[in-house]
Amino acid sequence: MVADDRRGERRRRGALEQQILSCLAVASDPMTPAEVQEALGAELAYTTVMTTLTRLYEKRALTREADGRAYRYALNGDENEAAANVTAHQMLRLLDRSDRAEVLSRFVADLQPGDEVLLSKLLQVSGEADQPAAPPRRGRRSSRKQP
Amino acid sequence: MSAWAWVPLIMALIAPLVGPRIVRSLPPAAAVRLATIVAIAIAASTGLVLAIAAELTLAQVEEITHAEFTRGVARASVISLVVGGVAAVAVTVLALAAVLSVMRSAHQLLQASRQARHLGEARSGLVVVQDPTPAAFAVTGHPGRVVVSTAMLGALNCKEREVLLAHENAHLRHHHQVYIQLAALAAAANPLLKPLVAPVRTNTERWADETAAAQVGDRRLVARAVARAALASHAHAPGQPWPPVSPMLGSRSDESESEIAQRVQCLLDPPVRRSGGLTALVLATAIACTAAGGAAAVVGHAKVERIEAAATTVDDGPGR
Repeated sequence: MVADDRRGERRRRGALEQQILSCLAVASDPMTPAEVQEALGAELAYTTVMTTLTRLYEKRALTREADGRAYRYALNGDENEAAANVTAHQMLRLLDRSDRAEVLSRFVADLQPGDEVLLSKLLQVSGEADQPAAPPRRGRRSSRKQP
Repeated sequence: MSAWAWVPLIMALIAPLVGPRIVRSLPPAAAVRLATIVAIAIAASTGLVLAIAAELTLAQVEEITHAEFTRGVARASVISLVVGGVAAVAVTVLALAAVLSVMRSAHQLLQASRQARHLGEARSGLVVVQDPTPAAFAVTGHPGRVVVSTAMLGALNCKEREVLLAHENAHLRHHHQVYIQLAALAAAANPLLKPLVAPVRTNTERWADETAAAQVGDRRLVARAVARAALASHAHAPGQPWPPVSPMLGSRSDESESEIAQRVQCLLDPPVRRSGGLTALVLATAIACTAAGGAAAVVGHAKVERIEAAATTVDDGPGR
């Protein structure tokens, strides 16, 4: 039970780290913890976001610069990442080869004729107004709302 | 051959027909596990039955050469010789296919984990690629990695991104590739089982969708994320042939629904309830199939020993 709890806790922590990384990856500018907290939208405590950002910084996943009393965080684009990028690019190209399907699982497969219409309809039916904002706009919006 | 031998063979014919239908009435996690277990059980027991049929034939060939070659013996044995010969060839070819399949899987896994290492010290298992193509995938390895392009992240809002990450992490956490590879192995060892591979694959996606839904607590949100990601990927794949959709083509029957449309629809429908009875039935069938294969092997082997014993007495006969 205790091991299960600990694993669950580690998983939640990992998920939050990934969310924050993906959030910062599409932000146009470095973000403060408050901006990250707002962008994530969930009922996350400020301290949780703060702690996770610090942890990611200590893992050298993020860089930060002082901005007044807070830090602004950005993805750390070092040379390791450049190498990883090349590999990831190669893998992206490989995705269309069907024999890779057993080791690489894609989030979404290819669409078939008619799917586009069907999916657009389903999106409308599920009735959510919030369209995904383009990354730069989302970044600016969150900084503007910042008190 | 004993009557037991027919059970796995008949199962191998029936399972691909009813399997996909049964899979649809099970929750995805149960569907993947059961379909994989059944496929492996049938592949193993049919392999066993074929092997024992081949062994029996070889023993009979020996018996004929040893025994006095009367016309009666020869005529009676011709049919079983043909059956056994076919079984011998089949079991050899299929065993080779299975070995090849295992080697292929091992090679792919090695390659993937090597590539996963090249992906660097992925922070928290996530690799973000600066790429204008919306793409996201999970790479099996130790540890596994989730690779997402910036274009894909940009196409989704924050909650939808959480869905995507939860979906890909679910693939890694629940070892979905293992199930797919086991099903592929079963299909290599018994090509009749090929129709079971696609349902296993599709249901790992459904399983990951439901895991993500449990994590974010909203199945409609997952449906939206999947639809949005699919539309974004499609909009960025100009190289692919894409017939313009006419209004007539737009309304298609449910049978021709693609995987994505099915996933989205399943998420919008109420979740499939777990059926203990159906699960037990499928498991019982798998066990019965394996047991019948085992029984056929035992009976067949005993027969082989009898034949060999008889041949030895014939051999010794003139000497005494």
